[in-house]
Amino acid sequence: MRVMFLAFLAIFAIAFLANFGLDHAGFSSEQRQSSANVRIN
Amino acid sequence: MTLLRRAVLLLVLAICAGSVAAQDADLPPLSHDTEQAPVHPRQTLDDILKRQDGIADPRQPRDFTTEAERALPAHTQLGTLGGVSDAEVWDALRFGTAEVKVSAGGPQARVVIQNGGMDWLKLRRGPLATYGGWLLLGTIAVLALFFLVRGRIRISHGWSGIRILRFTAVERFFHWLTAGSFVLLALTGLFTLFGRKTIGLLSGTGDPQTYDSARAAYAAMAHYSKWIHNNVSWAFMLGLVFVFILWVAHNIPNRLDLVWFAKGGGIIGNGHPPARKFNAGQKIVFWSVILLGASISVSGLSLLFPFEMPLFAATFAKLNALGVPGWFGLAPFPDQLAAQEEMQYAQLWHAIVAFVLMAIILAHIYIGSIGMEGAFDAMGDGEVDLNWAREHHSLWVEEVEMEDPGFRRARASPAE
Repeated sequence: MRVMFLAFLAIFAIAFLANFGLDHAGFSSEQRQSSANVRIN
Repeated sequence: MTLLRRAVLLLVLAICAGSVAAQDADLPPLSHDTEQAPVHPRQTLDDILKRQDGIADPRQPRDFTTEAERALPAHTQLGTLGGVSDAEVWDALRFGTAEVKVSAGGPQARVVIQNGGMDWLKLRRGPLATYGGWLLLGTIAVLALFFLVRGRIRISHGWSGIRILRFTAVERFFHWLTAGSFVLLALTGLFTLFGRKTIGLLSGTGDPQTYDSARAAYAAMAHYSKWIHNNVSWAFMLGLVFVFILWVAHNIPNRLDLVWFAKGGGIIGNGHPPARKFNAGQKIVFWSVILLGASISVSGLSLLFPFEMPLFAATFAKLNALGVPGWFGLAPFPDQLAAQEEMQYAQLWHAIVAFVLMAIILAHIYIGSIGMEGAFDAMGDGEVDLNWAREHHSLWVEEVEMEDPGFRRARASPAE
């Protein structure tokens, strides 16, 4: 059962690592979806 | 005097006639154009009511360019829009015929109104949530019924007290990495689809303040749920890759699988068909996890990086080229999709495939836990009882015995 709990911990470790890594690599989802200027002709 | 009066009258008439003629010369021949141009049905209250009821949308996309070309110049009496009314501008935006320029944001930012968005929303709220929900509830009901009828599948020869290593620590680690992340993804995915409505219903006391508090609570929960869903997905994808590498060689279909199916997998009745490390049922689960999991991952990546991984227009074009829609008597799939439509297809596909995989995994969880005595040990501590192994994986036990005759490990007390 130790391996199972270790894997569960690893899930969150990977999640935090991925979030940190993507944010610092310029892949912030919020940033890329920010509003653009729209002009209607 | 009479002559003078007549002369003045003639002068006034001449001035008026001249100014009218000059004004006419500035204007395009409106009446003539109107007769030649196609007449668009104007929207009526009845049309709006019909559309709101979802009966039909009587309007068709208009050629905004033609309308604009026919429009009066901006400096005339009809104002800055020329001859184009507000309704026509909104129509053009709605049907994607307006020329929209943006300074940033890519092609998707040029779509101000996406007409198909309502179809997606209706599908998501309607058939997707309804059939998806019933699929999961139905699966749980079938498993519960099966448990009541069949009961727990016992080890026919009882516990031997001898343990055999079934899965190594590495195998178990990646199994639980995939399984744990999938459960989290499934729960947060379901929360995204059903959470708002469920919380609203649970707080249905009729008190607006309670309802508002529940909605606010949902917003906070949805925020964290989204964080989990987006970031835990990486663990799932990593687990999927390793599970594939570790077990693909053991999951190649062979003739033994037909025997296994012919005997109902030993689940129905008391027979135990021979099997190697994985029986045919487990192979179905393996390939479902790999193929459906990969499909969910790819559509999930498309959603994680919005507008950067369009998948469906290209896929539809290939399917059309193969003539796949015709096999089912369908019209060709749309192979020109707006960026937003790509995202909507990705979301629908992601959810549909996820629902199917969730149903399969429910059955897998059942048989690996309460459904079969001794099965959980394989992934619990990695060792299973020898009698269990001989009953469910007889050929695999023979292989292990041949490779390593000293594999057995006595255990003081039976597991469970």
